Amino acid sequence: MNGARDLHAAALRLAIQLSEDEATRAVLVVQAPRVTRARLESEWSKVERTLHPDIARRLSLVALGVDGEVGIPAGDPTVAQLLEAARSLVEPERAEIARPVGGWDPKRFEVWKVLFNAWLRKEPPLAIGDVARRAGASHPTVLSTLDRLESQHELERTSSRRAFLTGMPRRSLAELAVLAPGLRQTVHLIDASGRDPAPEDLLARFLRRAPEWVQVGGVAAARHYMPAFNLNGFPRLDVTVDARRFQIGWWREVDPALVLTGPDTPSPAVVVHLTSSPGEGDRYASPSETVLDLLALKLDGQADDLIRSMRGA
Amino acid sequence: MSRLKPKELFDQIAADIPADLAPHILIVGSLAAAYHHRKQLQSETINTRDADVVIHPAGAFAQATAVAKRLLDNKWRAQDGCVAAPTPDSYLSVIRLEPPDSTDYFVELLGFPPASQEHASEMKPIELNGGWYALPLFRFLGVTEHGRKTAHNGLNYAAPEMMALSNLLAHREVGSVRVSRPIEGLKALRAAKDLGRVLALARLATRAETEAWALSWAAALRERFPSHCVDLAKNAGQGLRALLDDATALEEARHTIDVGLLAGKGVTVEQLHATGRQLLVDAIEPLAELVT
Repeated sequence: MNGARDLHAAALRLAIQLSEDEATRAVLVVQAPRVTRARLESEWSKVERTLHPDIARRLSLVALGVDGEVGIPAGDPTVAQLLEAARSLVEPERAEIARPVGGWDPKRFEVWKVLFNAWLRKEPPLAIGDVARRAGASHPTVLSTLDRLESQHELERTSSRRAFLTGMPRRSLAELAVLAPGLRQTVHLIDASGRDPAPEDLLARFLRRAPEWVQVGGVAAARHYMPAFNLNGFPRLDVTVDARRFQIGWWREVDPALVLTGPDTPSPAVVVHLTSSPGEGDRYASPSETVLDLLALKLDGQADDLIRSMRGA
Repeated sequence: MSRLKPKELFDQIAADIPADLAPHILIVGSLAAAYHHRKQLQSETINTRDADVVIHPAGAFAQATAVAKRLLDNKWRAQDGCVAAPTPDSYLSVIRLEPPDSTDYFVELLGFPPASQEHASEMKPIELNGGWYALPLFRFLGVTEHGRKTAHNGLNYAAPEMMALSNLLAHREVGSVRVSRPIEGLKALRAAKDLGRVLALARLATRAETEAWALSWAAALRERFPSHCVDLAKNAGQGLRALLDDATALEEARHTIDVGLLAGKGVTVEQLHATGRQLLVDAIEPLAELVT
């Protein structure tokens, strides 16, 4: 939302719904990149004063402003949870600082993906700067990741300060396959209509309507890279999204019934992975993201097949 | 309310309706929808007593009278409340006939509207066995002639997407008119019932099927309403949008669906709202773009 007027309009819509349902509580979650925290608090205070007390006490606010976040009422556990969720969605860079896992953190993971991707595509050794640019990572982060992989005998560096994986990085891949759920920022979507999501239809819709910074991954991407991909059916749709361009609700452009759900929801219609190494504008996620998607789906054999196919083995 | 299987009902109607008049019969409404989706509904029965039968083409009043007369000759009985009036200017009952040995369902006869009809509904007086009855003519039911389907026993029935279009066109607002007979205790808003039917039909179709509805709808509108097709296409979603914005009316729609076409499936209001959003994007907005 752009300003106070949008905030008021959204609050009023929720207030009307609350007036028709005595049992419901509503939380307005907004991203307000042009509004200060102080202004958000002030405008919300006006909303609360204007509404009937019974409505006002059932209406809460979670807002990410230009200079900070607002959660009203303060200390409310639901508001705190939603604030954390909203924060992690729009500020993935903050998540990486808080979550080193097994010696890996999200940025080093991106560096590894870039290297793995280059190996899968049989690219020549990459310059350090190139790795940093592709991963959206700093030079120190890149160098420390290279050091780790080199110590595991999975990587070599050339005299011209380039780096390459020496072969299939089995050890780091095995580590990251286990750690990936904690390292990959992931959002789950379901079809709120409750209808059979029909992944093939959903895929066609994504290819037609998704913003150009959304890349199709998972089984669909595997079939793109390897037409002989051996799997009957289509378990679910995985997509990869450039974290720097991610906006809450973009999926409604694809299907207006897609809504966010929690990570424990069985059988989500779409699993969205955020990355800061989205590749070169392809419609399909990179091979490294695709391999990770397949491993997350427990399609280990198919992941191996894809790797062998990409490497021409 | 008894429950019958759609295929059985079609067979019963075909057995009772004279073969020479069968080409004039078009089954519409919940029975047609349930028959079309009978495999998806599997062995489930239909929770309706109402078999809407449209006699076509437009102006086939002699055929409508002949169908009713033949059914009565075959011992079908006028339902309670369906009584002959002495003159065509009296209050006229709609023709509702029950089969000889059952009260499980009744046939309601409707007329096919002429293309020139401007009013949403008109009542055509027809004479039957010395008395007068009404044959309802619903303006937008005319689109159901397009893409007619043929059942296993040769009876014609309306395509689900055309029934959906007919109901969308008939309601540009939620309004306040209510059905005359309660539906499981609720005298629902007429718009909620009819637009709820649209949502039910959308749910029974696949997304790929609903995405193809716009093309069929565009062709039907151009052919049936050449002078008004642009306005009709542009406003086809107006009533549905109003329903989606009206929580009370949407709950009534859910109720009618839950005791009707999607009985027992436990569809929630949230799911219906999401279905409506999908239908707007899949078919209704494309229709407005196609017919300009």
